[in-house]
Amino acid sequence: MKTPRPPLTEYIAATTAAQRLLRYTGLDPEQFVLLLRLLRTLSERQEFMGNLGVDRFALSLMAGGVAVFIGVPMGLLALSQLPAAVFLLVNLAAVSCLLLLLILQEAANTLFNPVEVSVLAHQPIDPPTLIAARITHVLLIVWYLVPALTLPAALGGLMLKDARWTYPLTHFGAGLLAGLFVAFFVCALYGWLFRFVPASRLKSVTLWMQALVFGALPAAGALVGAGLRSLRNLNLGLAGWSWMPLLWFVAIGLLGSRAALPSMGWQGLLAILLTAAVIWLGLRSLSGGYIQESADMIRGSLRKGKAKTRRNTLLPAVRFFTGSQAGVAAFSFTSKLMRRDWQFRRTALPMVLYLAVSFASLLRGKEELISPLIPGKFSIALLFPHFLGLMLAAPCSVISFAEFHQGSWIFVTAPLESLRAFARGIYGSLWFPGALLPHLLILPALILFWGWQAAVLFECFSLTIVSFYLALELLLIPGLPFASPYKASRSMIGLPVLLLGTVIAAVLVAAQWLVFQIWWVAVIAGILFGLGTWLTAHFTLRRLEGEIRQNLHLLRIGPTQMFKEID
Amino acid sequence: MNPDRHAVITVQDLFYSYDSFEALHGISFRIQRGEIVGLLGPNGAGKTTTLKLVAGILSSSRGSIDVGGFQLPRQHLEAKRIIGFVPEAAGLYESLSGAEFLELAGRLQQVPEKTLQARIGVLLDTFELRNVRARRIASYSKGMRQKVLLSAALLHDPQVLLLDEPLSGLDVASSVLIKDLLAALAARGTTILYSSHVLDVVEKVCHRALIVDGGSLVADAPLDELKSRTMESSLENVFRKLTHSEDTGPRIHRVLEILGP
Repeated sequence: MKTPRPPLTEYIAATTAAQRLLRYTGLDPEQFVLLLRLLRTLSERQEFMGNLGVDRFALSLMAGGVAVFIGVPMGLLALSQLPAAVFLLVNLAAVSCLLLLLILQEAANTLFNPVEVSVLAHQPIDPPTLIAARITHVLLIVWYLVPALTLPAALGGLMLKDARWTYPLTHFGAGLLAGLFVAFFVCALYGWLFRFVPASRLKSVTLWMQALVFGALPAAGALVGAGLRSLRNLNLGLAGWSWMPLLWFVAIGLLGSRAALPSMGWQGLLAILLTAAVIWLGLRSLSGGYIQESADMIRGSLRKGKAKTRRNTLLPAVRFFTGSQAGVAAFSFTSKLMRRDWQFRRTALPMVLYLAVSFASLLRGKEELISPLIPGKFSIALLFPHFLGLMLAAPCSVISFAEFHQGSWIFVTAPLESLRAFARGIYGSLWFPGALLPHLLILPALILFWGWQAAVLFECFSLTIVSFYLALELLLIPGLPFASPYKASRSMIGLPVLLLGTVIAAVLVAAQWLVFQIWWVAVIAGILFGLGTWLTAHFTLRRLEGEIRQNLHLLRIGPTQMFKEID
Repeated sequence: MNPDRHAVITVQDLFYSYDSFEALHGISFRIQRGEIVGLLGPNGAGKTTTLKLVAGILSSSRGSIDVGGFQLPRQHLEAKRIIGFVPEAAGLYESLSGAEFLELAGRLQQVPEKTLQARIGVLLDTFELRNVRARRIASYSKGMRQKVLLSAALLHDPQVLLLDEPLSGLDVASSVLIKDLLAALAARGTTILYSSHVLDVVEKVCHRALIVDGGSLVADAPLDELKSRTMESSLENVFRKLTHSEDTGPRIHRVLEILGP
């Protein structure tokens, strides 16, 4: 495997002390180096792209994005002349939160979806060594992102009145340690799950855990907002707070500065010992029987296999809507895989849940639920189609990836006389549950509160808007659904898409509010917008059709690397 | 076979479940050194599960497995060092070349580098993969992939070979080569458990057959004994009798009926 080798791997391979240290911790240094090199090679040859930790390109991209959107603004916060301890606390909290969200997802994928193990399972690989190699790649996320998140703030911190010249070093060190702590803590948490949850349920449990964390984000955001308003009055020197892990790292970051925290009391020491024990025991739990249980982990629960065979009542409508049996095939296939594919659910569900909870959190009282047709008033209902539209971006951006994608050859053998119908089937599989169903669910309540005329007018307009978003978001689908292995770099497009979507949504909400001031203007605008949506969908469906054709061509000719020799 | 020889594989009262589905219930058998034993059974009977358990890939919920004196799953690392396994579904890294994959397998088995390179060279020559050694496995045919898997299983000179449909995708010449190679390996003491649906190959290669059906062992005897016990002349008829395979006529009729005239 003659590919450029990472410094860490080569350092371990060349250094006796490093090998001795690995052996001391119960690992096999030769196997550890071999596995790190293997994962690196597979990643560089584009075979093993599902984990962010092995995809250096995706990591670099993410580090750049994080530096621009979070790191630099954090650095500028130093201009507000906050106390050094509070400034450091804010930066470390941002580091910890972002890494927690990322590593919660990545560690689950790395530890509980070990696709490479199916090839290696019969080899005499020491499970702790394999887990250590996998966790090393989780730690690489910390290594790439912490500098992007902390260096601007660490340098900006020199402007604080309490800071000395050593401050950037201690600030960066504290950030790195906080990041490592989060990574080990999350891996240990999964270790505890591995101990108590049957292997076949692990992926499902972790998926819902991630989704719930994302769902809780809006509430956490509100808390942070409240906390930021009283930042200047925070007194971090209280001994009663020393049990909080974040403050341990704040204390490290302030070493040598004029604003060093007082030494922690017994609560702090006890908390450190307890946390260390939880992490150590959690990581040890991952070792025993890991390889033997990996087959069950990858396959997941057999219960999911017992799929309901009842006939889908929507199929005649889909047949009519798409105009061909190929459309029904695409609709049925995509709908089923969206419910069953773990990679899809794990990547799409958190964002969907986050936006759903964000919208629900806006509904605080009756006054926000007024009819949008009341002149001069702003109704929260106007935001409903935009939240739905943005939610649909998540499945569109990851729908082409699947955990078990090898079955896509079936599309090559099928006489798909109508790729247009096939593309419409994909659109339908997203439109029915993502656009039509939510509107049908709220319709009775809207009729009850607003009367049927306002409810029907709003529903039609809203459905047109969601259809418009979905038509645009078809551009995110690069071809056949569920036909490629997951690529971690693909998740990088989520943030820019969400930002662009928010800008489009803001413009549309303002326009929508204006047209809803007079009901007949809303009717005319709705009809015109419907026409525009139809044209947009027509264009984007044609593009998707072309992408599918290209995808089928690639599947037909086989691997693109055919006959290519490796040095 | 000499009955006094030491059993290399001993499986006792083995159970295995996938969630609530019991794939194996109470399988027991012993395989002596140098024996080639066929593992037969209908689809879903538990053949691959049995092989994976003996290979240390799965761990059983009940029962005991001993391979070369090593207890599974407790001593799975030691057992895996003396086992060569060819899985049914070709588990290969597509982006590695054939030679790279063999290097990886040999290094994981801790074969010394010089020996490893020599063995890789001979195996690539033997299986006529020399010319494609630097190509990515993604460009290999099914037969070529199977040859890579067989080579990887032989690299560390295992005492035990576990083969799951090893001739799948191979041409006639390669199949003959493998069959002769297996006989030669068994003659020098390698113990082979051979799972296949191709009964005439099993008839030619194996000394004894284990027949599993619905997760239970329904027969364990030398092939001639099986034939005389069931009063059948071919292994296929023995198999059908023991696994209660129904007459194919009505099923074919049903298929033709739904396909139309």
